[in-house]
Amino acid sequence: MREKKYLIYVIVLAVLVLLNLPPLAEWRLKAFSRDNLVPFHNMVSTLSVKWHAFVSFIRNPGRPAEEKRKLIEEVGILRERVRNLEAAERENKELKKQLGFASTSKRRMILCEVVARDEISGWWQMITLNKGLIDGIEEGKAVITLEGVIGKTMQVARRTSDVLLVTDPNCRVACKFSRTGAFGIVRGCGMPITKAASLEMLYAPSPCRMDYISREDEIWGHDEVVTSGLGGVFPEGLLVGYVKKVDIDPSGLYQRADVIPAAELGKLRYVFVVLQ
Amino acid sequence: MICFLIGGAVIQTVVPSSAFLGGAKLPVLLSFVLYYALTRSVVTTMIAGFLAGFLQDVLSQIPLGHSVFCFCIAGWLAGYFRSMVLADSIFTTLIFGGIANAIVTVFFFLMLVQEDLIKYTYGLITLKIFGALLLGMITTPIIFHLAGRVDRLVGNVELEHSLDDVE
Repeated sequence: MREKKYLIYVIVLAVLVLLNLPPLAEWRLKAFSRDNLVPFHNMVSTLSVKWHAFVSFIRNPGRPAEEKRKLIEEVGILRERVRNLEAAERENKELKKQLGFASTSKRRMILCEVVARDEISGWWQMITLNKGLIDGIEEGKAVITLEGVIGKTMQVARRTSDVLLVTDPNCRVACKFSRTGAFGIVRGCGMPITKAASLEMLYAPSPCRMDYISREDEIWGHDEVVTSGLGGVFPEGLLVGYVKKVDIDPSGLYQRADVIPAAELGKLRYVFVVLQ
Repeated sequence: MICFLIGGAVIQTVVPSSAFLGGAKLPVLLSFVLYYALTRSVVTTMIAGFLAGFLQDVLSQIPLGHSVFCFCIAGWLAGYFRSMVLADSIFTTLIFGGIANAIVTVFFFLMLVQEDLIKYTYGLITLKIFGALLLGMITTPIIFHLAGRVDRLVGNVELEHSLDDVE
C-alpha cells in the first residue's frame, strides 16, 4: 500500500513538472511525440480513405467509371488551356522585356496530404498535414487548395504541421471584396464544416464572418471575398469565399457579412502550403 | 491500458465533431479514465488519467499538462462515486458519463479562456457543453461495456483484485 502511495506522489509530481515546463521544452516534447505518431496517423488516414472509397463504390458502382470519363475530359481541356497559357506567357515575357519590367516572382508551394481531419480535443478547428520543418514549412504560412484559402500553419514539427482552419475563431484573415475592393477581416465562427447537407437544411451555421466593412460600400450576396495581402500571412488575391448574407454590426458603425468558404473544408485530402 | 488509450485517442481524433453539438468530440479518453476510476484502484486511475491526458495534450493545441491535470482530477473525484455508480448498469453510467464530460468541458473552457487560447461566444460554449453532455451519455456506457468485456476476456479484472487483496 505504501509503494502505491508513492506512485501517487510521483504522478502528482509529474503533473506539476508538465504544467511548469518551459515553452521550448514543451514544444520539443510535443513535436517529438507527434513525429513518432506520424506512421500511425498515415495508417489511419489511408484506412479511412479506403473505407470511404469502398462505401462510395458500394453505393454507386458506376461512379468510378463516370468519374474517370469526366477526369479524362477535364485533362484534355486543361492541356489545351495550358498550351494557350504557355503561348500567352511567352508573349507576356517578351512584352515585359521590351517595356523593361522586372519579372514577377511566382508563388512557391508545397503539396501536402491531410493525415488528420480533426483535432482530438475539439476546441480548435484544425487539420494535420504530413509535412513539416524538414520540407521547408514554417509557422504562419498560408494553406490553400485549388478552390481557395483553408487556413494557416500553426505548430510545425519535423514531419507534421497543424493547420488552423479559417472557420476557427482564432484565425483572422485580412480580406477585400474583389468587385468593390472594400476591406474587412474574415474570422471563423467556430462551427465545424460537416458533410451532412440534409442537417444543414434545418440549421445552417455560418462558418465565417467578415467584420469591419465600411457602411458606404455596397455588398451583394455571392460577392467574391479574396485576401488583401495586408496581414502579412496570406498573399494578395487568394479566394477565401463568397458572401452569404450582409447586415449591420451591433455597434452600427460597420457592415458585417456571413462568408461561406470556397474550399470544401469537410473533404480535404491534398492541400498546398504557400512558402513564398 | 495503453492499447485502450491509444485506440481511444485514434477514435476520438477520427470521429468528426458536429456543428450541431458545438464541435464537441466523443469523450473516449475521459470514458476510459472513468472506467478505471470505477473498477480499479486510485493508483491505476491516476496512471490512466496521466496517460490519457498526455495523449490529448500531445495531439492537440492544449498546453502540456492541462489535460493531464483535468483527467487526473476527474478520475480521482470519480473514484469517490464508485459506491454510487454501478459500472455494469447502463443507466447510471450514462448519467455519470454525461455529467462528468460536461463538467470537464466547463473546466477546460475556463482554463483555455483564462490563458486566452480560445475565443468562444456564449452561445457556442452553451451548445458545446450540451454536446459534451449528450456525447458523454452516449460514449461512456459503450466504453464501459467494451472495456469490461475485454478486461474479463483477458483476465485483467481478476489479476487487479488479487493484487489489491495481497496488499
